[in-house]
Order: sequence, then structure tokens, then C-alpha cells
Amino acid sequence: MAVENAFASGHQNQPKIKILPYSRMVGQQQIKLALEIAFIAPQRLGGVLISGQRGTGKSTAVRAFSQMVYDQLPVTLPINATEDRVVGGWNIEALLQGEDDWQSGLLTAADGKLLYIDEVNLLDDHIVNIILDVTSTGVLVVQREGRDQTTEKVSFTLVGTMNPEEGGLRPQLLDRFGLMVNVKAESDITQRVTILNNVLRFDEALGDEQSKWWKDSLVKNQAQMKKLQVAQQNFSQVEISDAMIRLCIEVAEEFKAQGNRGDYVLVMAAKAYAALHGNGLSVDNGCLKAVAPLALQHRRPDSGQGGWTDEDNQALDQLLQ
Amino acid sequence: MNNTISKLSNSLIRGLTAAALSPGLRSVLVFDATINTLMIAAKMMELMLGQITNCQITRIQLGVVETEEDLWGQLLLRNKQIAWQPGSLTRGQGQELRLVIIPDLTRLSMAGARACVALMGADVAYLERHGQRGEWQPNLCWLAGCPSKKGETGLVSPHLLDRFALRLSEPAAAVNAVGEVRPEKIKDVRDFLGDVWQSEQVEDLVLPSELADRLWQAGRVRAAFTLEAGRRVVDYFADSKSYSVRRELALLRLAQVNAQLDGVLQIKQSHVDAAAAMIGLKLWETTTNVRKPSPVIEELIEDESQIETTLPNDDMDQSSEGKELDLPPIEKKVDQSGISNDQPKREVELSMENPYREDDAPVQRELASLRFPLRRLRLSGQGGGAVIGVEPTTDVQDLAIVSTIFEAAKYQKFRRVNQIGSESRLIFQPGDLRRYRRALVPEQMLAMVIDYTCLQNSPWQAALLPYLQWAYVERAKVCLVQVGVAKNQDELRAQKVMANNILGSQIGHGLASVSGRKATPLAHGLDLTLAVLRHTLQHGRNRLEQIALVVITDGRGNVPLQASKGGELIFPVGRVGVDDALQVARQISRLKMVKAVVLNPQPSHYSDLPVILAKALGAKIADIVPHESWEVESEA
Repeated sequence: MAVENAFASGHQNQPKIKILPYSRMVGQQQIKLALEIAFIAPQRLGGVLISGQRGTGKSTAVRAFSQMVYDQLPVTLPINATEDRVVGGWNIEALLQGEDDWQSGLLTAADGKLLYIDEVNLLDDHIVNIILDVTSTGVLVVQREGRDQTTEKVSFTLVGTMNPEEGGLRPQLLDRFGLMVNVKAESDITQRVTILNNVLRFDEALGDEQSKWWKDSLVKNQAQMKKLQVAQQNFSQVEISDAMIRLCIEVAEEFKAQGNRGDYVLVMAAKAYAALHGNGLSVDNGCLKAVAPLALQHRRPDSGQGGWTDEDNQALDQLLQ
Repeated sequence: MNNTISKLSNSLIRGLTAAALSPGLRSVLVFDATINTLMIAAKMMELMLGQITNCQITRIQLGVVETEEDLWGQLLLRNKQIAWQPGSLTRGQGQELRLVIIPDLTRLSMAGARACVALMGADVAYLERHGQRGEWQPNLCWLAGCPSKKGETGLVSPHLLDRFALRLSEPAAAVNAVGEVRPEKIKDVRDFLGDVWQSEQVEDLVLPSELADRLWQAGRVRAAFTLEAGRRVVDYFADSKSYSVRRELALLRLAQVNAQLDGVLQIKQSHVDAAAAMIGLKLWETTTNVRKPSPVIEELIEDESQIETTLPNDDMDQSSEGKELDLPPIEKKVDQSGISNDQPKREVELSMENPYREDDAPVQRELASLRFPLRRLRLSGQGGGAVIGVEPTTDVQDLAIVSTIFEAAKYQKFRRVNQIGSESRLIFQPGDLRRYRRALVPEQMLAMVIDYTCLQNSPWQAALLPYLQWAYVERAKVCLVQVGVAKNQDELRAQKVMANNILGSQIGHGLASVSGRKATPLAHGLDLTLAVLRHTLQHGRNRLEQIALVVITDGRGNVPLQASKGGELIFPVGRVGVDDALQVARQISRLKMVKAVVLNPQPSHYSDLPVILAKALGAKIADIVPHESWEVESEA
């Protein structure tokens, strides 16, 4: 049988897709902090889950961040993905010709980078199981469609976005995310008006790469990127005292974080925060206060799918006094 | 036809014009539009998009049946060759723009709904299926209809609805504020009757030249953001319940198009107001309204430097600074003769209702309605609802034969290498098996017969609650038979309400009914129930495994069945009504798969009747515990 590849390759050689620049994202400080911390302390932290209301810029933030730090859109696992594209499968056109040509999947493509799942709570259960398996073991084992078993180590930063109105995540998957952000729509009027202005300016810039606004945005992006790179380099030099580690464990205990990952993630995130914000390269209470909600809110047994209240903040302040 | 269209629905046409001009508005939801209106709107959209974008416009339609394979792509057999066929939604790229028409959003397939969520308003689209990979900037325009008069918006996930930037409606305002039919509406109907109405004529529509010119002029410029416009937009969403960045952006973009259509290079407050009027938004408070100042907004006015904005002409051609384009004004002759002088004169017809109806619509959908249904053990191998996709399987139940064949076809070259005489046959292996993935269908049904004449001071709702909860968990179909309700025009008859699940608003309304009648057509109520049960168990693609029948009554049916059916009560009645009810109950008891329970309100008179009825039904009986007297006193 002759082979026809009817799928147009029109997507090749397309101009780079523009996303609203990261430096032009207004507000949403928690999203930015979580993504930056995950970049500074990658893989070891376990990734970021961004959950929140519709239209709060979750997907845009992730894509903008990836374009800033990797100069490309993130490796994305869409909700229509089939298993062969996740773990790898045969090139169908080659197969029909009698040739064996194995295509690596998205999990391999994301090795060392960011794997982004938009609408992660709408993902097929079967695909979720695969991701759980790989993120917990760090090993991708593929034995399917007649191919001999292969084993490869993969490590990526998993980033997911979701609207909790459409259902929550299984606890096992929720636990794979080191940090969680609960996003709410911006309420400050100044910020809201600025958002509107920025988006309209972005609409204009889509047709004009030479626009001053666009160039300014890229300059600011580069400045932020340098800051993150410096922080990443300094991460391993950040000191954390035994007393601070003990405090992290106490905080995790106080908020009834399940399992052991909570205090571990808290320590790593606090170190990353210290690396990002200077702090004399040591972790202090301020670092802990900034990252505790991100590290702990989704690990509490009665928190549903996250959520950090004013009472939680007060309790945290008490502990950190 | 063109004459009719130009007067068909001004806010609708203007809204479509805005969507054609502004890529950020190319997801249009039209509430309560007839199918004819939607098709005309689609044609107008196609013409305008072609004029603005110079792209090839392809129309596709999504409905109930589309699967993921249809939308994202699949292997197909063409001219004796197996080839990958891109899906209908993967081809809107580059110089081809796809106009996606969804006639009824409440009936969209789950695959379609998930695709909308993934693609609508997205900067980038991804395909990772069956060996195919793709990443592209989608070039799509969406036009959907959605009924809303009876709260149907509650059937659609708000996560999906939120993706629609532009909300319009077919103005039903045929009458003015004092209830008089507007003369221009009469003229519209005459024009409509005068035109020869044939569906083919929709395809013959051409863009009126004046509109085409206007589009061309407006598409040449871009009206710039102003602080005044930004504040005004924020004013319209001062109510935090309705606020969302997407909604504000949509209003701003609509205002921008209004400015461009007016030939103005800056977006003014009036453009925002006109945009809000088009979609039916109300103003909550204003930043410049001295009667209702807000402390936060006062700060904003004082310190505009916080806003990262430059003068609008920074990046624009300086020669155009402050210059208004010489364009003809929008032709909008409103016949004032039928309108009271007290009414405000608006250029655009008002869409009278809230455009974000999902905020108030009662929920009539399941939780996590965009997720594929969990596989339930009872369904495995049993088939189920409509096909929504295919998935690998390890047995031959509900086999998707074609998908299985295509899966096997991929490996034939390898499998035939060492197989003699197999050239004409497909060689299958267990891994090739594919079965249909189906939507959930109800396997259970909850039938309720409620005698409203005996429920005074009875906590019957609490007694019924466990059954309602069961119906929700089991996604059961629901039948509610009401006996003796106040609103029943014919008090000799019971009435029946059906719903696909317990979330149907009609069930809620039915349960909230009250009694005001003395007639208790219990026999008719049971007879209606018997007919429903028989029909459900014996007809169609019945998948029901169990029916729960809950009867709440004191057994004192005082209307003979014959009287209910004949519409006339012949005295004396005596025990006939009660005996008729018992006779029907015995027929119900003979039905298989029906488990019945009588909830006994414990009447003070004829207290044995509920027990006798339960025996006739073959039902269990449970007492409804009455309010304790102290509870009644504390409420008083």
C-alpha cells in the first residue's frame, strides 16, 4: 500500500509564535515566584501547579516564562494526546512503508526542560498514570507496539495549569507538584487598567516586531533572565542552618503536610528564594514566609485542592516569630 | 435578502463586524438565535472575514457526533491507500481561516467541547496523536448559538462559556418599554415576507458595498488605548462576581472596533458605552461619578503615572496624530414614531439581558463535565451511550472494527514477512484491538410519586433527600409525578415531569410545588407512573438496570381513575379512588427491576392506608418522622 502523508507540514518553517512578554505580565506575583523558584531549583523541586479562576493568565504566564528562559515555547502535553506521543511510538508513515522509525515521545523531549500540561485536570486518566509513574521513578520504561523494552532516565520540571471548577486532581498527581499556586483574578484597579493597556499594546506589536514597546519588553525580559541565571548559579551556595531546617520541619508539621515531601520542598524553595532575592545567600524567616504557602497548601489533608487563608498566614507568622 | 439582512439585527451585525475586524473577538456566542439567523450570521461572517483577512475561509460545523478523531485527525482509507487525514480543527492555519459554527452549544459533543477549550482564544495549538505532531497558531473563528430562555446555559460548562469573548443575542425587543410593538419591527416582518425565503439564497448573499468599504477603512487603522477607556471598562465590571480579565478585554476590544468604525484613533468612553450597550452590560459605578466616588479609584485619578502607558501615538504614524478619518457615519435611521420621547436614543439596539448568563443560570450539568467519563465496571462490555472516541482494549466487547483494522494495517508490512499466503489477509494481534469509548448513559432511574395534599407540616424533603442523592451519584434519569399540586389546571389529573438527571431545573421546581387543592388523583398519578415504567423498561435502547420508585402519600386518593381520564367526576365517589389506586399499585408490583418504597407521612386519619398501598406495591415502607412540637414552637 502506498503511503500518503496527508498531514500538511505547513507548521514547519512557521514564524515564531509570539506570546505576551513575561516582563509585561501585570500582577500575579505568586505565579511568577513559583515558576522562578522551580527554574532556580529545577527538577529537585518537583514542578508547579497553577490552579485558579478562568481568564487569570495561567497559560500565558507559563508560555511567557518559557519563552523568556528557553527562548521557545514549553514542551506541551495537550489534553488530546495519545499514549504513543507521550512515551514514544512508531512513525506511522514509515511503518506503512515497512520501515521501523521510532519517534521519541514528549516525556523524552522534555528531559532537562519544562513539560507543560494545560488543563491538567482534564487529562485522560491513562495518561495521568503514565506521568505519575515516570515522575515518581524518574525512569521511562517503554515496551509497546512490538518494540523491545527500553529504559531511559528522564527528568523534567512538570508545570500544570487548571481551573478547579472542572474537577480536581488525584492526590497522587497533586503530590507530584512541588509547588502550588492558587490564582485569583487581579482586583487592584490600577493593575487591571494596566493589563488592558498591555494586551492592546501586544495586539499592536503582533504586526510590528520593530515597535519600541516590543523591544523594551525583550530588554526587560533579558534583565530578568540574567537575574534568574545568577540565582541558579548561586543556589548551591545558599546556606541554610540546622535551626532553619528544623523550623521548616516544624512549619510542615504544624500545617499537617502529608508525607515527607512537604518539608523537603519547603527547604529547597526557601533556598531558591534566598538565591533569587540576595539575602546574603542564607535562608531566613522571610524566605520561609514567602514560600510556605506554595509548598504546603496542597499537601494538607483537609485543604481540598489547595487554598491558603488569612488565618494560615497568621498561624505562620506566629511560628516564625 | 440583503435588505432584510441589513435590518435583521443591527447589534448582531455590528457584533459580527467587530469579530471580523478584531482577532481577539473571533469567538462569538449568540443567545437564543434561530437556526436561520445563525446561518445568515455565519454567511455574513464568512464574507466579512474574507474581506478583512484575505484568507481562504472554510466553514465547518460541530455538533453532537464529532469525535476526537474527526476533530484532530485519523487514518483513513482513500483510493485504496491508508493516509493520515488531518482533523477539521487542525487545518485552520496560515492563509486558511476556518469558521467553526456550533448551532447549539448545549448539544456539542464532549470531544467538541474539549477542543473548544483547547483552541478558543489560544495563542498556540498542539497536536500529539497517533504519531502526528504539530504546533501552530490557530486561525479560527467561532460562531455558536446557545439557548438561554429556560436557563439552558446551565447545561454548558462555564469554563467553556468563558472562552467566548463576544456575547450577542438576537434582539427580541419587538416591543418598546411601554409594551407597544415597534413600527420598524412590523416593517422588518413585511420585508421578511416580501423576500423569497429559500435556504439557497443564504449562499447567494453578498456583502453590501457600503459595509465592505467601511470594513476596509476600519481595518486600516487601530484605535489606541486611553486611560479614559480603561477606567470605563473597569467600571462595567465593578461587581466582583462578574469580573474577569477576559470579559474586560472583550469589552475593550469591542470598544476599539467601535472607535475604528467611527474613524477615530483613540478609544473614548463613548465607544466603551456603545460596546456595553451592544452586549447588554450595565454600569455599576464610575470613576468620574462624583456622587459615588471610590477611594481606590480616587487614587487612580490622582496618580496616573502608575499606569504604564504612553501617549497612544508613540508607535503610530505621527502624521495621523489626532486626525479623524473621513468616513461616512454609520447609517442608522431609527424610526422614532413609535418610541416615547422619554426613552434614551441609542444608536444600537439594546441586547436587554445580561451577556454572562452562566453567572446566574442554575447548574444543570455534571461535576467535571469536560472530563471523559470514568470507566465504570458495570458498563464494561455492556456498551453504553453515544460514541465519543475509541480506546485500546483487551477484549472484543463493543469492538470498534474499523479502528481495529486501521491499527493492524500499520504493521502489515512487518507481519507478512514470514507469513506465507497471507498477502490478502490482515494479520491481527491483540494489541490492535480498539473499542468504542462511550458517553455515560443512565443505568438507573428514580421515579417519584408525590401527593402534595398530605404534606403539610411534614419534613418529607428530608425523607426524600437520600433518594435524590442516590439519583445524583448514579446519574439516574428522573420522573416526578405530582398529585394534587396547586398549579394544576385540571385538578382531577396528576401531572408528570421528566428529566435526564436530578439536576434538571424542572425537577427542582416540581419538588418546590405546593398543594392548594382538595382533589387527590392518586390513582391517576400511579397510572402515569406505570406507563412511564413500562415504556422505559420495554422500549428503545434501554440500559436501565434498576428503577427506584418512591411514593409519598397518605393513600387517600379521592378521584377515581375513570374521572381523571374522562375529566368528569361522577358522584358519589366513595372508595373508588382508593381502590383504583390499589389496583394500579398491584400492576406496578409485577414489573421487574422496580424497587419501591412508600414514605408514610403518618396521617392521623386512615393511618392504615399507606401500609395497604405499600403492600399492593410490593414496597417497603418507611415513616416520615413528623416535626417534634418543640421544633414547631421554636420556628414560630
